[in-house]
Amino acid sequence: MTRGVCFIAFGNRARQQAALAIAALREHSTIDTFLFDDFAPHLPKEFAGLDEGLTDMQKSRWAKVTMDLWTPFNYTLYLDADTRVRGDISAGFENLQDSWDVVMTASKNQHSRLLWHCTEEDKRETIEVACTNEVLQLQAGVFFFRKSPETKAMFEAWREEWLKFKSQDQGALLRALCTAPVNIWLLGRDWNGGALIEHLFGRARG
Amino acid sequence: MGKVWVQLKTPKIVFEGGTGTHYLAGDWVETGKMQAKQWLADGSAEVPRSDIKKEIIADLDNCGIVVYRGDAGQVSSHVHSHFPGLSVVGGDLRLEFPQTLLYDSACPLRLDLSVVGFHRLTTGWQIAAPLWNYQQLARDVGNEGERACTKSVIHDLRVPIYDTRLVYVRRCPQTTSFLELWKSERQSGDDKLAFMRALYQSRLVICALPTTWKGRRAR
Repeated sequence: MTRGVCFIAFGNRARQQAALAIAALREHSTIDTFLFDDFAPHLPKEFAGLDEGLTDMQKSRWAKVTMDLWTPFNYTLYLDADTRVRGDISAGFENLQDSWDVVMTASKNQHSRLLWHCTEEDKRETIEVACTNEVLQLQAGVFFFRKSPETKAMFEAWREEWLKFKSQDQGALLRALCTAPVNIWLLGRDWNGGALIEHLFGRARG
Repeated sequence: MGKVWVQLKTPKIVFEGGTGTHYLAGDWVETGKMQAKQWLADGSAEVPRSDIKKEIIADLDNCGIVVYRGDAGQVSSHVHSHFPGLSVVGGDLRLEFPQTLLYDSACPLRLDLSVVGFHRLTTGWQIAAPLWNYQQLARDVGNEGERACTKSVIHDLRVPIYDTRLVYVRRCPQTTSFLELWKSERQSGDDKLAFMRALYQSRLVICALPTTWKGRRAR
């Protein structure tokens, strides 16, 4: 089964950051990489044109929620362009190999900071679907996933939810998991914003 | 899920269609059954008609609490003051009900969230449990031998651990096997690491919950 790391970069600044991210990864791994950017129309044709009129930020989110359709890998690690790998990331792939569908971290923003970066309507919709505002916010800037019927259903739901507001992706992900849950193995902060995978959070946004 | 009328006992802002409306104590509000259950559980609303109240909490018939550590009688009194029909039993870890809360009474129980916890089990998740906290990882608990044993199963100890005092489980062959494995693993040391090993090998669809589920309400 193929393993690889996917990056998404729309706009010059994001592309520069992605290049730095790939260079950092290369210091620790020879794993294959794949870059989805505005020069690469990778989406299946039934999705072609759906990104017209979107900002670079929206395009990058749309690319993320369609990743199951364009990743060339069976086992994918997605990394935001503003991440820097600082060590061995193979354990995440081992978790996928052991049949976990998604491997990711919780957000450092919980409780009163739940979905702080989302619009009010996005946040309210999420709370309504989740039946509570006390849900664990996940951080979708670093995650592993494997191709499976379960992750296919999750991505379909994620797309449907993202298209409601076409903004951030985390509220949409929480709502998608309410209708299409998958088995998620949670990782600690080292894996996203810590010693193993540094996350610069937003520096790549142009 | 249909809507029901409840009478508020405390003031609330109720959102509908993106607009918030202020209501006072004593006002009647039409809301969804899940929300009604939560308000009944936290005491912020009431349904005077017992037949309607029974209908609202009818789907708790398949749910129950196994108090595997602590005083089941005390838990029962607390639970029954809000949900008279919800079964509470004591004894060993077991899946007594189709949807079981495995509960250690040393952990605060938020009944308003319990209805959501049981609901999670009907919407695809097999198990739901809160994280122990946001700082401690598997590498920080147990002894060296237990950690080595756990690492050999889960590959990396830089992972959060769950609070095993509050675990919602849907009864099915996979969770039944999981429970047997957990019980076996927990005999050999740290309960949280035992849970992690059993969970990992069982590959359950787990809903990780925030730590507020065992304490103070989030603002």
